[in-house]
Parts: sequence; structure tokens; C-alpha cells
Amino acid sequence: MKDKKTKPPGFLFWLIRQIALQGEEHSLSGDIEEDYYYYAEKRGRFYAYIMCWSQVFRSFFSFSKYYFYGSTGMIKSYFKIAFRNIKRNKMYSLLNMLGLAVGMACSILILLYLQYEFSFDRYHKNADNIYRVARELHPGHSHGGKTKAASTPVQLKDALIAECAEVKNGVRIVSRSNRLLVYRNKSYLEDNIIFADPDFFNFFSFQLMKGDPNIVLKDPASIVLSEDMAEKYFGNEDPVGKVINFNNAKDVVVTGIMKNVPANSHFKMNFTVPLVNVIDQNSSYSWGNNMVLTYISLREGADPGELEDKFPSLFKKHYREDENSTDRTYVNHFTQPLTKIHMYSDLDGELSNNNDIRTVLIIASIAFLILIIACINYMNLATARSVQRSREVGVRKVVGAQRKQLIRQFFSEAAVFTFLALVLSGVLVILVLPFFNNFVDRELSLSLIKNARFLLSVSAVTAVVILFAGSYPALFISSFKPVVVLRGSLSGKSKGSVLRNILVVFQFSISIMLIISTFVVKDQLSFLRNTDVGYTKDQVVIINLRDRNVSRNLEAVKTELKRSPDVIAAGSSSFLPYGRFSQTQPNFPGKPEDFENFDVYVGRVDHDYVDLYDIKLADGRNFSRDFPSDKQAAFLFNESLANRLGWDPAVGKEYMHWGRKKGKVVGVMKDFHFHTLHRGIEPMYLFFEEGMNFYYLSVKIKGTNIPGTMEYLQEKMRGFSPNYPFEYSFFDEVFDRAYRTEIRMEKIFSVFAYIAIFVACLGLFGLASFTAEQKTKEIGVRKVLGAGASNIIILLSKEFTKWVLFANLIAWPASYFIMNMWLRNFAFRTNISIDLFLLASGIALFIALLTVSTQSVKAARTDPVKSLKYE
Amino acid sequence: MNLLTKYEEILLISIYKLGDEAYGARLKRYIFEVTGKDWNYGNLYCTLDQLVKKDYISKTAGDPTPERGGRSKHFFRLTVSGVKILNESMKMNYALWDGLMELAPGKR
Repeated sequence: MKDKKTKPPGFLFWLIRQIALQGEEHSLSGDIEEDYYYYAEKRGRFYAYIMCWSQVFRSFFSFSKYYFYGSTGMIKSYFKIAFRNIKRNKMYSLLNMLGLAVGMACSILILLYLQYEFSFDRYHKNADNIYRVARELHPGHSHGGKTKAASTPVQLKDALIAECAEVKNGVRIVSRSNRLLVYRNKSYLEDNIIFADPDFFNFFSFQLMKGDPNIVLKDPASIVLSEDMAEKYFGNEDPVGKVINFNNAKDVVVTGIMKNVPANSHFKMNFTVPLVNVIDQNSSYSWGNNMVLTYISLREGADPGELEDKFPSLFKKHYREDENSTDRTYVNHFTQPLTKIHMYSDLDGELSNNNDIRTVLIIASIAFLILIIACINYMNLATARSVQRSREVGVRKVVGAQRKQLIRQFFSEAAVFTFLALVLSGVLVILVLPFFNNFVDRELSLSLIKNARFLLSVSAVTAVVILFAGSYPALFISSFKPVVVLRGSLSGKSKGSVLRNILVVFQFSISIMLIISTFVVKDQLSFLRNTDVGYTKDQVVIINLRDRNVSRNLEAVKTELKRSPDVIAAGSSSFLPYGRFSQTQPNFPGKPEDFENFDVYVGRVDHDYVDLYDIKLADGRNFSRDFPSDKQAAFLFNESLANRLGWDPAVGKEYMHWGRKKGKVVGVMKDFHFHTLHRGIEPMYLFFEEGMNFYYLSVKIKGTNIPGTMEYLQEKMRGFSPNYPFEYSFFDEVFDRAYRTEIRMEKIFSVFAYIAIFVACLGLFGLASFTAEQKTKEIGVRKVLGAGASNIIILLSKEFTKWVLFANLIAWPASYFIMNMWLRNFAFRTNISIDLFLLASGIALFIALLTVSTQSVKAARTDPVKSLKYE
Repeated sequence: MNLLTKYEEILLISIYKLGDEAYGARLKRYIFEVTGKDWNYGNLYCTLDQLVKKDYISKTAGDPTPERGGRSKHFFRLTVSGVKILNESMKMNYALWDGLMELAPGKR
């Protein structure tokens, strides 16, 4: 009769057990099974399957209704009344909905953003098992201010695969930029080049449109282009098999085309070349030579912690075996999961600028706060109207409504509201998305919402809003006692105003805090821009020197450039201001054994650099053409270095750079900020060396005809280097790049401050108009007794300004505390002056008064006759 | 004066008519046969629950049967007050519908 195969699916029954009434789960399950056989006999298994699922699905809503409302009948009426109420108070409803919509739109955007950020690198098939090996640096050996580095020894990958059972496979990567690629008449200077082991495309899931992943990187003279690069160099031609000249050194054959790397990847490359082109297989590298990035994949179920435990012995063994390795104390190595690199990793040698989880958390919490403000708005407006509703509630209770039913009614209203607000927020999100993308520097698109997790989060947010915003009115209004209410003793004074006012205070505290924070950040930024850095940076253009021919020929270049009267000076350097300096330890003949090492920063300059930037000397002289010995080795210390070494005077003392360059200190520079103002002024020296490559040419120009001067510079530079693009930055741009985080922070805070104030004022507007309406009779009487318009306005405004001022009491200390903590990031910071606080509060107060005044003016102008007529 | 909702009324009548066969799936099928309306299980069980709460019907557990995968059914019977209210409802309906055949639009 019934064999096991024709039984209905078990999952169906689990679902039934979840939704059925208590005690009836078995019964219902049995019913469904009975139905299944019935349908199966009638029209076959598939028909039965479909029918049963549709039965369960349709029952779901009925059961839910019953759960929430205890009856199946009343819900329609609740929704009808909710809509009627909304229609009746169109303005309040609209205000309320707008506030909720803004809050929800913020949350949705943030959810989109979070989802995207956490999705980085997850498209790789084996993503959960891929890790990167990285190392901690010795204290005192930090690189560029960071204490950990991503670079690892060349032999590490093979050693790990051979010696650790957990490691299944590995790939090494080296990233390079600034290579000239030439195909026929197309030549471009390219960045984003990756050199990788041959099984790179098997290890990661970068899709190859053309070419077999097993062989594309086998031949050393091969290259894989991204889609965009293929089009750039070859247009419609098929690139495979064609030959490109790489870096003026080698010809490589295009063996494959790769789909563009997805935007949510922690590294993106345009070109992939076999690793052997930078790592010579034949020469041996010491284990102290950290040249590559090592990515490994672990076997299923392997524990990265256990692998990390094996590191100390593994490394120590190889250090000892390695003859070239100096006897160094071991540094800790660790693994990083691939999927965590984008959000959490900030090491020296990262392939690109990763995000910072702290910034993300700050943004998320602010969006959350704004949502809370919006919910508070709803609560306030709903309870402010409680007097209107009180009569309704009284009547309902008299005809037999229980408090439970009333609570359900008000939650239904909150639900209707929230869903309408959700629709409105959807529209807002669509409108604002392009600006948001600009703001966070990503390309988020609406297609991202098409996944279960996101929709679930949005539903969760909606549910929370309904519960949170609806709770206070539901519980509060439903508690009215019919006798009290119908007697009319409630009218005239709104009940619950104390709590409402506290909520207003809370809203405005948050808004004021955001305004103050914005001001402080703005202030600090202008401090950073305007503080005396110890050198002159106006009217300076910095040209990137990529062509070795140019950087070897700099004297001629400088002379040529200076032919124009618009060019005042030119000087070259190995570093960019605010940029990375090489680091080393001090070294000089006669250095004692027990010398306490410290970090020193080093830069290379030519004769003209110091004068161009107007760097002042405390002692001695600049490098000079009059002293040919400078060309061999001469040093300029900064004061901090001289003081740290305890050399007084420093001029004339002997010093060694890297143990091989011996020379004398020819001058001591007054301290200047060569790093960003996050850091104090550290010991530093400059040295001169001819025949070395410089990377940057600083040109000081007259500000009178900047476009013309730039054209002149471009022409001249192209003359010296026709193949290389003319790349330059104005000094301000360099500043902006260095302080990118702070500039972004300013933008973030100001946008959020605008939104928070907007939402808070929406609420205030609603409350004010409501209060004005409440007091129409009172105002009418006062007017009759001779009050002027201004008296009325003051009367109405007094109440609210009190609370806004009160909000300051909370906002001031909180923002002071938070901003102080943020400012500690900077070695040099501005003082948080009281002016900022006063200004912020003034603005908040002004806007609040403006909001309230529109209503109070309207109230003050109403004809007393009208308002008193109805008694 | 307590009026039955239409759902409750239909269900009470069906339970009365089905007698010993008045359990979930059977009721649902019966209602569909007679009224042509396809109730969903949620509606059915929730209304049953309401009727039980109002003490118009009583619930008894039956024996497990293999057709239902070894699960038992709940049988429903009208209580005394259930029969009473159904009688009242029937009388009221007869009184109202008395003399009316097919209603013609527009008349009266």
C-alpha cells in the first residue's frame, strides 16, 4: 500500500511542528500526511507534494495572526484604524514617517556597506582555508610606524609544505609597480603587477577567460593580462600569443586573459607574471631576506593555532642552518585568515590600503544612534497625541476591550507606520546611493540586497523599530483609565510630558555631540594645515621621477627647468614629504658596545633641496657645490638626532651610514616635521650622494600663471623622458593624501551631524505644533487679556529651549571626553576651545528655536475668537 | 446574546454532521465539499481552538493509525452549550431567511 518512497518529506513536518498550535502538532502533521496520500492517489506524487506545501504555506499566516492577536477577526479593523489615523493627521504622520525613513535608510546603507566589507575575498573557492603568514617586528625595528610586516622569507612556502602536515599548498607573491610595458606603438607605465608562483591561478579563484590555469605561468617569459588591460593594449585583437616588452628588459608572451579582479578583493592586479622573474631560482636567499608574501592553504579541519605553535622551532632551525643569516633573535610569525585581511590587517607591506574595523564600527554606531533618535521621534509624537486618542481608548475600554487588545492595536499602528516608512526609506536609499558610494569610496549596488542574510537583517531592523518605537505609546496609551479619561480631566495638559521631554533632551544631546565633534575635527584639520611645519611648502609642485635616465641626469634637468622665470628653484629627494622614510640605527666610528640603539630616519637629497624648502639650520652649513667632498659622504642631522646622541657640537663629527658610507656631519637642521603630525619629531638625517636615483623632484614655482607654468614643466620633462608620463602632485594634494583618514572623518561627522539635527528637528517640529494646538484655548484667553504676539511666542518657546539647553549638560562632557581620546592620536594637537562648544550649542539652539517658532508664530496669529468659540 | 462568527458556525455544523469522523483533515475536506471554500489548516485549527475555549466543542484523542504515519487524531464533539448555541443560530437563520428564495437585485 504505502511504501517508504511515497512518504511526504520530513522537513515539512518539522515546519508544521514549528507553526502549529500547542497540542495540535501531531494532529496537524497527521492531517497533512493523510492529505498527501489522498492527493497522491488523485493526481500523483508531484501534485500531492505541491498541494501539501501550499497548505502549510497558507496556514502560516493564519497561525501567525492567531498568535499575535488571539483572534482571527480583529486585525483588519486595527489596520483600518491605523490608516484612518494617519490620514487624519497628515502632517504629523508625514513628519514621523520621514524621520523613521531617514533613520532606516541610514541603517540600510550601513548594512549594505558592512555586508560588502565583510565579503572581501570570500569568492575564492577555498577562502576559509587560506591564510597569509606574517611576522611581528622587533621593537625598535618598526617600519613606517607599524609593528608587524607581511613580508616573509623566500623559502618559507616550501618549508611549510614539506614540514607541516597542516599545510596543503602555498603561493608566493611579490608586488611591483612602475614597469614600462610596450606593445607595438602602445607603451604605458604600469602599476599593479604581481609576480607569483606557477599554481597561482589554481590556488586563488581568479577566473581565466583564456588560458589554462595549469600552464599560464609555467614559462618564465609569460604574462597574464586582465580584461581591461587586454582591451587597452590589444583592442579587439586576440592577445594570446602576442609579445609584450616588459620593463625594457624582457619580452614576454601573453598566455592568458583574466577576468577583472572583483572590487571586493584585498589585492587587485592588472598583470600576472611568473615569480622567477624577480626571484632567481638558482641563487640562494637567506632566511633573513623577507622578500615575498606567502599565502598558504590548510587541509580541511587543520587548526591554524597548532600550525603557529610549530613556527618557533621551524624558523629557529632554518636560521641556524642558514649561513648568511645573522644570529638574530627570533621574531614571532603568525597566520592571518584571508577573509580577515581586508578589515583587520594593517601591516607593513600590505598589498593595498585596507579598511579599519574601528572606523567601520564608529560609522555603524552613529547610524544606529540616528535610528534611535528617529524611533524616539515616533514615541514622542505618538504619545503627544495621546490626548486625542484618550477618548477613543476610554470608549473602547467601556465597550469591553482588554488592555491586551489595545496594546495590539497600537503595535499594529506602529507596524503600519514602520512599513510605510520602510518603503519611503527604500526610495531614499535608491536616491542617495551614488552619493554614499562616493562618500565611502566603494561601488555598492542594489543587486547586493538580493541575498537572504541582508533581507533578514533589514527585517530584523524593521521588527526592532516596531517594537521599540511602538512600545511606549502602546503601553502608555492603553493604560488610561476610562473614568479619568472620559471625564475630560486629561485635556489641557499632556500626560507623560516628563518622559517625552527627557527623550527630546536625549535626541538633542546626540545631535549637539555630533556637531561638536565635527567642529573639533575641522579645527584639528585646519591646525594640521596651518601649523608651522618648519619649512615652506607654498607653491611647490612635486614631480615623480620614474625614468632612470632623468634621475641620473638631474643637474641638467634642473638647469633646463630654471630657464623659465616662473620656476624659482628645483631640488630632488628620495622621499615624499609626510611619506615613508628609510629607517636604520645610528652608526658611527667608535660606537660603544653597550650603545642603546634607537630608530633614525634617513633621506637622500641633493644640494638644492634644503634651500628650496627653506629649512633652517641651527649650526653648520647645507650641502654645497663648493665642497666637492660632500659628494662622497656628508650628513645633515636634525636637532633631535644631535640631542639624542648627545653630540654638542655635532658639526665635524664623523658618522657612518649603513656601515659603509663614512663622512662628516656638515650641518644641523632645526627640527621640522617630516612625518605627519601624528608623530613627534624623531631623529633624522639627510645625506648627499651623487649617482643615486632620486624619486621626486620638487619645483618651486611663482604662483602667477600656474597653468602656464605646468605646461612648461610638462613640455620640458617630456623632452627629457618622452616615454614616461608626466606625473606630479601639488603639495596640498600630498597633504590631503597623508591626512586622508582625518579628512574622511570630518566628512563623516558633518554628514551625520546634519542628519541627526534634521531628524531631531522633525520631532521637535511635531511636538511644538502639537503643544501649540493643545494650548489654543490658553493662547486665545491670553490674547484676549492683552498678550502680544511676542509674549505668545516666548511662552511657547520657553518650554522647549529649556530642554535643549539641558541637553548641553550631557553633550559637553561626553564630547569633550571622546574628542580628547581621538586627539591623542596626534603628537601635535589643537586645544579644544570652549568656543566650539558654545558655537555648537548656539547652532542647535537656533535651529530648535527656528523650528518651534514656525508653530508659535502660527499660534500667536490665530484669531482668539476662533479658538474660544467651541466652549 | 452571543453571536457565532460565520467560520465558527460552519465548523460547528460540520462537526455535528460528521459525528464520529469529526477530525482535522476530514473536516477540511467536508467543508470543501459542501461549501466549495478551501480552508487552510491555520484557519481550521485556530477556529477549533476558539470554539474549545468558548466551551462549544470538546476534544478527544484517538488511536494512532498507520495512514497518518503513526500519529493520532483529535476528535471533536459538540458540547451541550455547543448544541444549544447552534440551535439558536439555526432558529435565527431560519427566521431571517424565511420566505426568501433567490434574491433579485434591485427589488426593495
